[in-house]
Amino acid sequence: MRDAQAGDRNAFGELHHRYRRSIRGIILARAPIDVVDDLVQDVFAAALTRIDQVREPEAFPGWLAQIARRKSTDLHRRRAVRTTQPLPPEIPSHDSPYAEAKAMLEQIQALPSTYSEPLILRLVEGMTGPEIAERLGLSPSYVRVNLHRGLKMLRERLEPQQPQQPLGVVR
Amino acid sequence: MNHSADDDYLWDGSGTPDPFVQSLEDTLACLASPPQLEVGAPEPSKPRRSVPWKELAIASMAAAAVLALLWLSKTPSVFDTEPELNPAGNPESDGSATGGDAEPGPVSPDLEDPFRTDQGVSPDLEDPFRSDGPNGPNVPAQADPADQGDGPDLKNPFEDDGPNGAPDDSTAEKAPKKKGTSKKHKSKPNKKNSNKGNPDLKDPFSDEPEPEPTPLPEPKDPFKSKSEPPSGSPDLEQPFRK
Repeated sequence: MRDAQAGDRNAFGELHHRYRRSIRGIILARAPIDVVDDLVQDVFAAALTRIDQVREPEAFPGWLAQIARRKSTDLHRRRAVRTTQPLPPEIPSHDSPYAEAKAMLEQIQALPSTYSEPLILRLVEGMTGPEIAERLGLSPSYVRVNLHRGLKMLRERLEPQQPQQPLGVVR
Repeated sequence: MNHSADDDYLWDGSGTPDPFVQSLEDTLACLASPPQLEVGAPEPSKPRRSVPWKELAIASMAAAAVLALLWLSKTPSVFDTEPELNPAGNPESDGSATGGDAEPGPVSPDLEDPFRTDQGVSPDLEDPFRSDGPNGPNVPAQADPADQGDGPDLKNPFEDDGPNGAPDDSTAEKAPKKKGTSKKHKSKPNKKNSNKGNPDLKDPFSDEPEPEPTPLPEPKDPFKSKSEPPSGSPDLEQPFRK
């Protein structure tokens, strides 16, 4: 991080490669999937211009995650002003796995961000709990508790919608 | 108890897999980061433009500076000679002589001597060129402005020998002031002598072969009027005085 602050673009590239998935997960917990990659680039562009503001290298993950959260919030504010148009009827809604994934993602996004962030990083980006704690600058116990609580809340939200279980399971 | 097993798998993928978590992972896997973006090289490190405009500009400026230095290194010789040509030795000059490039200018007699072969300053140089004059080789037969400008010794005979035949003592006394005027005529002998009616200017170039009747008595007059013998040719003038 010190090298990146000194102007080494390769060092900043290493930071980008290291934190890109976590930043994407943070944004994906708040923003639609179609704008996530653009917002990721915006976050790193802002970080590149302001990286000299970080005093301690240990604070960089939390600082970068905060930029991602702020960018996502700003996007929500801008999108609230826009007028939305309904999708054309010929587009299938739940036929493709991508649409099913988007529906599932919306359920996770409906959770509080404290739970949605670690859940998306774990379930979408495939990161482990320790990785999530390290990339977000959080304690592992805090992440573990939030993962557990978030999964519990998601299960409660999805179970009524799920089809009936096989008879052998339900006695 | 089941929660602890689920937590292990949810936490780091270890322990017994939770089917609910596995189904979520399978469903949401298509929303993961594109692999090409993950493996891709860091974006900020883009190669620079192939055309180095700054380097080209600096190189052109350096080349211009070198050329300027080379030009200045040659010009000092010109500047060194100009102050010698312009100096106070010629305050009454027209200015046309200084501006001319081909004309050596009437400023310094030391520089004018080698170029003015027909207007010799010193008597030693004048002799071979004036051999065809009627007065003889060593005697300045005609009114030569070059003699007037070089020293007071040579001015006297020619000033007294004006074309009108009237010796002018006042002009002889003012001889040092007219050095400049005589030098003017030296610088542009051909043109000025032909244009002006001044006989002093006509003599050296246009009328060198012309023997004028007046020059013979002229050398006598200056010795009468002036007591000082000419320094340029003392050996020739003293016998006339005696």
